[in-house]
Amino acid sequence: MDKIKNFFKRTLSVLKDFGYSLLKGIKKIFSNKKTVTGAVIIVIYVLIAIFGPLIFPYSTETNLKDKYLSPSLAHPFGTDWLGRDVFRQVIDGTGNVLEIAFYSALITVVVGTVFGIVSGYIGGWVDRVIMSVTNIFLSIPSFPVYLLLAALVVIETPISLALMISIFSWAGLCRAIRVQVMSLKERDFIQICKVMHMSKAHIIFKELLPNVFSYIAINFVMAMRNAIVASVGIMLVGLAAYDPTNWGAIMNAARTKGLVNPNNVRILLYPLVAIVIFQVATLMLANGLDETLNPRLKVM
Amino acid sequence: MENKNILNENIAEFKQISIEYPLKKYTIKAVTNITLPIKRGKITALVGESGSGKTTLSSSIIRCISEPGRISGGDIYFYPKDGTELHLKDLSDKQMRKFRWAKVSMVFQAAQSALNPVLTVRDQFFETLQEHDSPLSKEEKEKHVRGLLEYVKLDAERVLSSYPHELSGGMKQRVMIAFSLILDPELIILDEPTTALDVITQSYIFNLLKDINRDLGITMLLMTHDISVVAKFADYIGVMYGGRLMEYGDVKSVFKWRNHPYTEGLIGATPSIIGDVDLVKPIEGNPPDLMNLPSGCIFSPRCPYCKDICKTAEPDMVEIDGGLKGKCYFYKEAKNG
Amino acid sequence: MKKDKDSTKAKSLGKSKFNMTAVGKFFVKYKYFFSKVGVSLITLALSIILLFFLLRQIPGDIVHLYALGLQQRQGINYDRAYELASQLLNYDPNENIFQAFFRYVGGLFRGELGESYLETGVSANSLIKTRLPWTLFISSVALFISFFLGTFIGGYVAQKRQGVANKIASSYIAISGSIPDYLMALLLVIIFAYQLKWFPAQNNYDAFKVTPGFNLPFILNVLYYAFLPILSYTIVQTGNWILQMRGSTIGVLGEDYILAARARGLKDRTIRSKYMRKNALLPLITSLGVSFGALFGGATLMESIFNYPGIGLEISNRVVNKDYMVVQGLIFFSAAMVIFVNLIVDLIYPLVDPRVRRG
Repeated sequence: MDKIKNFFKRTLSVLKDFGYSLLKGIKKIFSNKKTVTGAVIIVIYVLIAIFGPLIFPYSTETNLKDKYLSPSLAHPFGTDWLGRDVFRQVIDGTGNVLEIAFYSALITVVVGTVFGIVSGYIGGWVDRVIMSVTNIFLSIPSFPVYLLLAALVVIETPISLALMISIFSWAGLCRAIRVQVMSLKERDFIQICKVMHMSKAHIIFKELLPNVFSYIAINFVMAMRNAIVASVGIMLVGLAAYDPTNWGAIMNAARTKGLVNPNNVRILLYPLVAIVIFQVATLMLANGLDETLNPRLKVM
Repeated sequence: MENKNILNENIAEFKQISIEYPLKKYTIKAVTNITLPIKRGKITALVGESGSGKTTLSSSIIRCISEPGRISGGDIYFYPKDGTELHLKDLSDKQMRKFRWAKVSMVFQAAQSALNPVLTVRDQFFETLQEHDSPLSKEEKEKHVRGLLEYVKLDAERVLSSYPHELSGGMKQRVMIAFSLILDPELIILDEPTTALDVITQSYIFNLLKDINRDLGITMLLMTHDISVVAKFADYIGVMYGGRLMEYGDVKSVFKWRNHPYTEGLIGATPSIIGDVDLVKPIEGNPPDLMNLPSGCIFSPRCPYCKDICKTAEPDMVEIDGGLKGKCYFYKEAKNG
Repeated sequence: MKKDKDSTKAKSLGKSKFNMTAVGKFFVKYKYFFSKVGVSLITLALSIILLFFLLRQIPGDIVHLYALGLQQRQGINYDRAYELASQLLNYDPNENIFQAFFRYVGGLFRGELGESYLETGVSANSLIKTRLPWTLFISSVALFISFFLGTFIGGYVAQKRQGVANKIASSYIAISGSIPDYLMALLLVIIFAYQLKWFPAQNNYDAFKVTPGFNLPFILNVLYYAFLPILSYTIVQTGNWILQMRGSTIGVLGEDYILAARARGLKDRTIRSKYMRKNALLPLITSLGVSFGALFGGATLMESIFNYPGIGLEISNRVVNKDYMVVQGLIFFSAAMVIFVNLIVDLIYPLVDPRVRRG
């Protein structure tokens, strides 16, 4: 009985400590104005992505009688050339855009970090091989290849599009992480671990990873930004058009209908503004995190 | 004004100088109310742990305190060879620019980073002569620069066409010494000139500096944390702690009497080759936090002789015979005891 | 640390003097050159492999599509056309993968970057000849304008970090960094071409008004048509250069040699130009190559928005029209070009920055 009690007490105190330090960390991170503003906007976007389609369900039903209606209470953003509600299209597309960004950032960060740490820590020929592979992805212009891939491979889910974008985006992160690991490796505390014959797993997971963690967090946000730029761009050319409400697809449709018509310009501007606001928010979050987590890099 | 034909025995005097670093939330007082003479033709050493304000104090002579530091009080008087008296506070920026290097030059702690890595040594030497409107002709400049480099035993031809990273640490420091002489200054500030060098090069550099002091009669202000260097090299010593001058006097007396507890600690913390290592006693505790100074005498938390009075108010500078000055309540008594 | 490096360098040099042949000495002397060229060649080879595998992804019905096109244009029967099409596409399910690869590489080595199945006589080679100058024109002009503008502003605001200018620059960086260049292009087209009608919305020159050649009306017309594409690149890229130059300059400002230069009594103007600007600018030269690659890749979207007949427009149009052989040829060429430009930058850099000259 006592043993169990003790065990609980101990776990509780450990949890308490962990909670306190977590709380402290969160408090510190959110003491930065930029971080808070960025995070709040992103949370609003996520909420719109989740609950938006439930509140404002989008119907593909066309109604030529109502085409190109001006914004009104019934249609806050007006209607398109087939009489469909633009507001509901934009809301519906939010989830798709965010999903692609999230998955792509996740893949980029995982792959980039793993290869970056391996390359930087192990060095030698492993490093050389990984570096020449990253070299290709950094030299070949990515966007044309995206287009070719989008045309050749059937893309029907956000994950497959995210996967495609990540083919190129991991390389830059991999290099950056490698440089960080290489400089950390020379630092005393890692050298001491080596002298003490600690296992590689311990050094990598307990010593290296926590030290590049803030860097990874910031790059996750940056990878999301890049994924949005790439995915919207691909759809803007009319490729990977599996989801007609993706912001890129909406803009492409409006563009191909002709920008001479001011109604199409109006339709195009809603998703455009939505993207720009989201990008500003992610940049603020990334910069804010950078300021709190890497205090030596105070630039702005 | 006194008779101008008799030169002041001091080449420069710090007059109650205070230097601050205003930061976002608080202000750091790097130097507090220091009055210190620099004797003409002699070598004055400033010792103290890092962060004690040595570099800040000395770079204030040429108004080159690193950002965002500024002089918040006091003045510096400078007495050039021509018998005039300069109040450095009153110099305009343009006058100060002309004053730098022409009257007071400097040898930096990190010679490797004190030279612009993308310009050759020749470029930097000639640029300095140029910007100070040197009256020398092109040939004379060349001869002058080569003469200086040869004086510090360097291969002038090779060094002049080199970029800084192509020279070794010892060579770079000698280049910097030659560089500091280029405008024939009256005072050279030496900011830990040998810390980055190996022992043999160190002694070579010090011999060279001693020669310069003796042959050319140039006054030197040496900053160091190595007390053994002071003993060998300097004529006068100023001991700094937490931005304050704790003791000042001629080296022999200061070393002999060890009147100030901090000076005593510094000397005691230096290992000697002959002595037993066990006799080396480091000073307990850490250097003071400039943002959170202890009340009373700032050395009191680390002082082995600390009394109650030491914690109440900061002691004044006390002068005793022989020109020794110290900041301690028991300065006079210590000499007798 | 530094000393160790020096001594090992000295050692290896001593050794090389002792038992190196003349050829070996030549390689040691130009080690930097050869290693950079080698890395570029390896990258190029790897990109060829990557593109080859990409092309293996072409689904089977494309061959059918190609065959139909060939049948129609050349008046041959379907079987013959199918055979020809699978050859053109490098697509033969029975062929050994190595054979296919070597045939593909052989084609590239002979300079055949890919024939079009849509139009006879059109190939990636002929398109490069006619389209490349336009893409190069737009991207290099934009690159240089934004580089000079951005580094100038970046260097300036770095020295006045508390000032209003820095605040404005910071906001500019944040906004220009948040609008992808193609959206900036769309915005500019909407405002200046469709609303205000100040600039043309598409094309590279007015074929009805001017005749191509070295004459003033043509050059002015080309500049007029290129204005919006260049402007949209420049607006976005300038922010990037301001950011980089500001960071680099702030780094230089903290260096001892700046303080030392001030202590030497140098004029502020000299310190700014010869010490801050030069030292901060040099490392940015390497980013020029990277930036060029980004512009070249981004041309795909940019040119399709302005309907500007460069390589990028060809790539995006032909991807949509499934003219894959031409597309891969154009992509291969773009990659080779970016690799080449980066190589040139790498080789030139040591000549301008003495710090890496003896690397």
